[in-house]
Amino acid sequence: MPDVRLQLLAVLLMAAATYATRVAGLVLMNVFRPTPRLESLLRHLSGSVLAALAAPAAFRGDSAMVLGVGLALAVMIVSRQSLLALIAGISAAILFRSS
Amino acid sequence: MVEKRVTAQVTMTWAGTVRGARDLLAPSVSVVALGIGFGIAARGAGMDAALASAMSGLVFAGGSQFVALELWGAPMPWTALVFATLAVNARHILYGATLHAWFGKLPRLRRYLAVSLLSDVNWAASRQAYEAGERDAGHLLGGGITMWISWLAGTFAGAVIGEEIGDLQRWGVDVILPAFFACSLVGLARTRSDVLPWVTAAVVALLAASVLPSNWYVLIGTAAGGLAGALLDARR
Repeated sequence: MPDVRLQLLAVLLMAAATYATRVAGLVLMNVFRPTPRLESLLRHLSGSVLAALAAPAAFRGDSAMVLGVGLALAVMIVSRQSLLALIAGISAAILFRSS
Repeated sequence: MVEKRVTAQVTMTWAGTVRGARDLLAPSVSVVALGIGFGIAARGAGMDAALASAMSGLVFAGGSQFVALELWGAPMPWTALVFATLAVNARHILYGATLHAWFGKLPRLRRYLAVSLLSDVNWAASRQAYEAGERDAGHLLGGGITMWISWLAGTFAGAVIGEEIGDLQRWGVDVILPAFFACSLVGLARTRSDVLPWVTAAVVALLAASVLPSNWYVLIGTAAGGLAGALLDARR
């Protein structure tokens, strides 16, 4: 692990970047109306970064990982309850690893 | 669910803040639970309880915090970390834009204070309240305060639990992150056509991860997905 001060610096950078996204919408609307193309790019970025992280992480893991993520995804699609889905996925991975 | 509140003038008051805080009490239960998940996962990524809590308190954006855990390590991948944070939280920019008609009438300082705890859930609740006549900008901040306390409390509890339970992988902690990302995607999907850009992002990221060093796959996969989505929208 990096030095704790470096880790704190990383947290502060993330906080600054996040606050910037919180005020940017209000600030930008004073300057110009976002074009539909910019709006659609922004909208797709949030999901894309999650997909870009999840896929390699899931495939790097063992079969318990694939099972857990797959089950969580299935439960989420059916129930739309993220908490329920996470509990189902994690429990399945724990059970699979302990058997 | 939200009763009719008509206050013609845009304001920002304590009473409005309390209203917002109260409206978000029900969803805050699941925020605590998710915070516990984050705290445990943060332990798994090598953070202690103080640092994990500092992140939840200062960043207060769950998706980007889980993403950061995936990248956390030595050496710190600064570029990927900041880029991923901006990308995950880019949706805040849209939320902010939808609030301009309301918050734009406030003095600058108050306006930027009112959005300081903007997140998915309190944005949705305050948009709903606005439709029902709410004009007090404190509503968003108050909702944010409820979410902030819940997220911070959950994180701290989770990080402490994580220190106690020892072998984290045996307890499925490594599954929390990718499972959370996958569930978030389902939650984000509004139409079927949202899915194709994400598949693009996932496939490009998998390919990039197998040929490129370090965390470039995050940037490349994200950019590919975002562009694919924008291009698809433009053709429609």
